[in-house]
Amino acid sequence: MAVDGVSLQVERESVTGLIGPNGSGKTTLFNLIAGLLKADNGKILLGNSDITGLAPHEVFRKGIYRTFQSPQIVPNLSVLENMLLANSLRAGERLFESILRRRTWRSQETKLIEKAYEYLRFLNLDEYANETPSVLSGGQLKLLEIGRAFMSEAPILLLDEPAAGVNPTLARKIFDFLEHLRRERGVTIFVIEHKVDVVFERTDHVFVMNKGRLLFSGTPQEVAANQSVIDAYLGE
Amino acid sequence: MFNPILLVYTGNIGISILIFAILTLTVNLQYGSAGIFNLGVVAFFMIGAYTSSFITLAGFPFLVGVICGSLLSAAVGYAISLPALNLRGDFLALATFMFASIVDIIVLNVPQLGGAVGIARVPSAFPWIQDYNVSVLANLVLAALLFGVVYLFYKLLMLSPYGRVLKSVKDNEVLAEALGKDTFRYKSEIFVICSFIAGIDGAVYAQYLGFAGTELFTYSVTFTVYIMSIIGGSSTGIGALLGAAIYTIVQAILVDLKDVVGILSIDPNNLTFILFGLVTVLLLYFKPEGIVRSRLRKVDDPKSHLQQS
Ligand SMILES: Nc1ncnc2c1ncn2[C@@H]1O[C@H](COP(=O)(O)OP(=O)(O)OP(=O)(O)O)[C@@H](O)[C@H]1O
Ligand SMILES: [Mg+2]
Repeated sequence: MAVDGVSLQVERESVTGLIGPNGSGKTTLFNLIAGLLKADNGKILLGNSDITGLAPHEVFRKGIYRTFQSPQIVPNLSVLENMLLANSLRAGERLFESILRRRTWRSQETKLIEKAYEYLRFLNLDEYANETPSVLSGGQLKLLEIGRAFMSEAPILLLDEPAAGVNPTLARKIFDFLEHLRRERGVTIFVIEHKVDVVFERTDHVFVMNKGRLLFSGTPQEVAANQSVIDAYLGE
Repeated sequence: MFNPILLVYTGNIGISILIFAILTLTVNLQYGSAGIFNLGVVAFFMIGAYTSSFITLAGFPFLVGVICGSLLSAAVGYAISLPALNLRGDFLALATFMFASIVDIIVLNVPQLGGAVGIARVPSAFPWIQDYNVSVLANLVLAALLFGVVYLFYKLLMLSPYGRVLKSVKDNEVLAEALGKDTFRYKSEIFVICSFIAGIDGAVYAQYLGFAGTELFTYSVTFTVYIMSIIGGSSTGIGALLGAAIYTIVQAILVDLKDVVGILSIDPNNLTFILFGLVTVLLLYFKPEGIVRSRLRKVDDPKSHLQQS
């Protein structure tokens, strides 16, 4: 049992952190929400609607986008096209419309390409736009992963250690941008992060998991002061 | 120069290449683009051929035959895809292979479907053409047109966002799902479309030969088409034509070495199979992408383009 008896609620338009030791079930919890794993029991609610047991693509369509802890790519597509994949082109991704309504999807795609380039520049990846993702370093792949989350324009982002392996300046920029997304576009952000200083500085609310269970829930200040959290995770 | 015998000879080889190139394109679309390892390709080719043959024999024009044949093939493809596409890689291959065997056995054992004898005197698509040479030319044009249409379809599809999604379904299904792509629907659409195309192709094949029999639609057709796909390059359209051409021409040369020149004493078809089996294994080892490989689509930033000009 990797995750058991976890009950938590992420507030709309918040930046919520999820922390806990390695193997405490954080990624597993994301997999359950995203539909990649099926829970033996329990419920996942989005507002008032029950999204338990939906396939991953259906969860995406409900507006939830998740990034992967280990970056996922399509090796036979360029970095740019890997970015474009995150945004559904309504006409272009349907069988007959992809052929019969070329003008429609082409004009949509041109805008998306512009946007993708903007994000790639933001993430210092623009020079690799037309390369295969295999030329990217581990940290750059991580950036591609987060870039795709930006492309998705999803109202809810589940980010699994978005800044792990990313240099500090860029990590700062990414969290600044997440803050911007939340403020300007009302995006809800649920983020797994090991760097506690980042979590405490950037989140409104923090959940702490340990051994597959929810250990504590509270504001960053409350979490930092809680003895059981210190024992299990923060140390000292 | 314009020796009619030679022209007819090359014409027939050309038709054969094109008909097999079309079938290879369906493999490139299913396997090369979407990762669907369908080892029952020949069954859909056969359903198209048989259906169209029966319908044209009943007095209907070829167009009716080809429409019925391809639609039935697509319908069967849809029915098969529902259980089969839930299976992973190897199991999908096994299931589709079994399906093709079942179709073969049914046809063999039901005399009303032609049985072991097959269907003779399948009407031509061009019943008004009496001259044999002209009919070869007409069939060449028909096969070339069909190849052209299927090729264009393949090209446009693969260059569209749909093609992009297919590649993600093939390479990283978990990611594709997380990005909101209904991977099952994509695979099932491709499976049905390819069954449909194979059905048309089968109808064209049967009327061209004037015959449909189980010996034309054995599992070796499926393997041949996969070999053509791998040789030419399974992720390109032109690779399908190239693979089919190389295979067919080498086979024709070997047949001539035996029948015309007489220096070959083994069965040329078996020799072709052995030869290409070897080539395929070597190719898979040293150059798995085939002769023609697909390139990344390069797109410049539309904005920086505007600034420059
Ligand atoms: N489907 C599964 N069934 C049973 N156990 C699983 C399953 N998936 C993962 N686990 C186990 O559950 C534990 C939690 O894994 P998880 O990936 O959720 O940890 P995490 O909190 O994300 O850790 P990290 O911080 O290292 O990324 C691990 O010990 C893992 O081996
Ligand atoms: Mg994890």
